[in-house]
Amino acid sequence: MPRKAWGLTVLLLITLLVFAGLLALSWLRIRPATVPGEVVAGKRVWQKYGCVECHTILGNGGYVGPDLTHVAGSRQEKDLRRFLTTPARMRPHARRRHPPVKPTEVEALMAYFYFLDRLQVKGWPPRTVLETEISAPDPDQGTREGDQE
Amino acid sequence: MLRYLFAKLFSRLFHRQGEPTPGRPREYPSQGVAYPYALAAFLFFGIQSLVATAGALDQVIPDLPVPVPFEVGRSIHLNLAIFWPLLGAMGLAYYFFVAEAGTDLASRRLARGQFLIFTLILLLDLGALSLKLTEGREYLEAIPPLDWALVLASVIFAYNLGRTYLKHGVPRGRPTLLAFLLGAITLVAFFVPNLFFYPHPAADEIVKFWVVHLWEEGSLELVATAVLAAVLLAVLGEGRAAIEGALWLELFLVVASSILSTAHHYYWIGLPSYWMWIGGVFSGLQLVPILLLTFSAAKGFRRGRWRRLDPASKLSLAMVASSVFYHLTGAGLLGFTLAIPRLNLYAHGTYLTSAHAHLALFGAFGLMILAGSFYVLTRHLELSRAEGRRAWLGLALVNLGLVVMGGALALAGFLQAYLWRVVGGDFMEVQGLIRPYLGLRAAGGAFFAVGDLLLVWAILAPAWRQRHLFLRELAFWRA
Ligand code: HEC
Ligand code: HEM
Ligand code: HEM
Ligand SMILES: [Fe+2]
Repeated sequence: MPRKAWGLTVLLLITLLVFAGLLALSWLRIRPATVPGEVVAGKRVWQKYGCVECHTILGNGGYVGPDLTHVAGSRQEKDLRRFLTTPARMRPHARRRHPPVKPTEVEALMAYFYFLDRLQVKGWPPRTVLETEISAPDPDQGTREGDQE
Repeated sequence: MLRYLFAKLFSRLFHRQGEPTPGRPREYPSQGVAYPYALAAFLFFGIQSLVATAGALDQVIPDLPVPVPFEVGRSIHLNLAIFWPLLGAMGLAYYFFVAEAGTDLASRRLARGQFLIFTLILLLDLGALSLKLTEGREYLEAIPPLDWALVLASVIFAYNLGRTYLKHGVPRGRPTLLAFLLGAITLVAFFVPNLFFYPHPAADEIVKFWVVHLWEEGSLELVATAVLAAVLLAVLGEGRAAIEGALWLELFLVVASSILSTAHHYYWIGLPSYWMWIGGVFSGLQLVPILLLTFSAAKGFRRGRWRRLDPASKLSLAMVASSVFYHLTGAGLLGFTLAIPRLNLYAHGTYLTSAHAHLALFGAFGLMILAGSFYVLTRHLELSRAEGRRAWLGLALVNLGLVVMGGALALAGFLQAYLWRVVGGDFMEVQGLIRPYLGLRAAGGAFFAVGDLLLVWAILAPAWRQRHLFLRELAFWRA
């Protein structure tokens, strides 16, 4: 292979190496191996129903329903449970209902939502004008949700 | 009317006299393996659009009795959005690799077998998703057995190109060949980690973008850049030295920027902040090869002997030109705007992303694949005058629909980001407020769908008349 071809291949390997190094740092930070079993079960439920087609998590997914990253921190636990098992009417539809999950799966799903709520997401979603006006500025960047009541 | 404008535009761009007609480039027997790939890309694109239109209408008309639930439709839509351009890209890589290597493929049989595996995967995937059998990961909805089959297909692809590259007498220094080869190898490398389940949601997102970003903006960007160069070389007979010089530069820049710019998907998923700096800087760098590509395409067009081209080549070039336009605007400029961390904080997870996704994944990438596929198919298919007209009208409608769709989504996204993310309105109420724009998007989508069905029809009808060509190319047991 001529020089340029080698050059391109080497450049590719170098950027991949740098990328891998940075990823390793991030990987150590999130420690994927330490996720509790209940949370993992919840993630499987989430994937089984394909909830991501209508909801975003960490901002990635579908835009039909609200982002659920911080749903556990912004709703009453019992309301959330009821919502998940007894299908409510799904706005803006008048007849169509929200897809339900089995009562046996709710526990795991809730664990997953609590886990998501506690992830350090660098102040996303941003603090909104309404939030700033209603409550005093909150130095802690914990649970915040744009669509509170 | 639009056709007239196009013709006018192009005669401006291409007017040059006293140059010889570019001879039809030599055809190698193994280039035929690309026909079924190209045809299938058109076909699955048509299916995707039909499902998409139903989904878009369902979004704006409450309780619309659509045959497929929204979540099923979207999973099909996203899976196809990744897969048909990939299928098409593989066919084109085979076609132009052979042309550039100046020798036949190492194995035609493998290339045909790979095609059959890939189409089978797609058909089974459509079936599985309709039955709600989903992996539940965005863009990677296909269930694991199909993913494994996809690995098999892409390994065959990389192996076949690699073997051909190593054949005696191949000009290994050609940048086109290297781009196809590196694209093929990295396709496999980035996909394999996605065969597994990740218990941590952030880890899942990290790995998912090795396909959603590294495939589209890395591997396939290499392939698309090389296809563009090869089309310019083949259709316009442009000077090789000039095209190769620009291509090398583009490839170096794509490689330098695309891997690390994956960072622009890592801002808010629970990772350290260094990704924001890296994402901002390397997304900026991504603009440079895109500008270069635009520039070299424009130069190629200007030098081309437009008037002497056959109608099908003209149409292919019009598609290439459309693709380059969306590459610059929808992928490059809009993408870079979204990649600025301060702006992404508000734009992330809104319809602004959707605007970019459609303009980039279809506008820049899909259209380039369709352009190449159209070129490949029409080397042998005779299009009647009516079919030619239909294709032009189709392309015009696709462009019109895409611009309306992208614009409407960008407006909807902007309002959504402002009312929901900045002001703090309730998500569902904001959703109600932006419904008119989503309606406009559905209208744009409908134009788009009508246009692409015309285009698909213009290809399928002659393909059916001359079906023996394709059937022959499907017999993978024959050498
Ligand atoms: C067809 C699209 C769709 C699918 C699929 C879907 N959702 Fe929803 N979901 C919605 C919509 C729309 C809303 C908002 C309903 C409303 O506010 O009236 C919603 C609301 C919710 C809420 C309440 C959010 C809040 O802030 O009050 C939760 C929790 C939820 N969904 C969980 C899930 C889970 C878990 C799944 C998977 C089993 C799922 N959803 C699948 C569309 C969907
Ligand atoms: C042809 C090239 C490109 C294709 C096919 C493409 C495709 C996509 C797709 C499909 C998404 C949606 C991902 C999701 O749903 O989460 C996306 C998001 C994004 N793209 Fe691109 N893109 C291209 C080029 C670019 C470029 C050149 C840039 C920057 C310079 C860019 C920046 C972004 C950013 C920042 C996002 C994330 C938006 C968000 O926060 O959700 N893209 N791209
Ligand atoms: C008939 C034309 C089309 C219509 C009506 C349409 C409609 C839709 C709809 C309703 C969604 C769901 C989420 C949203 O509202 O954005 C979507 C998402 C998406 N579509 Fe399309 N689509 C069309 C064509 C295409 C094509 C041709 C491609 C690419 C090859 C594509 C790629 C995508 C992607 C990548 C997403 C995910 C975007 C995101 O999550 O941000 N679409 N589309
Ligand atoms: Fe990206």
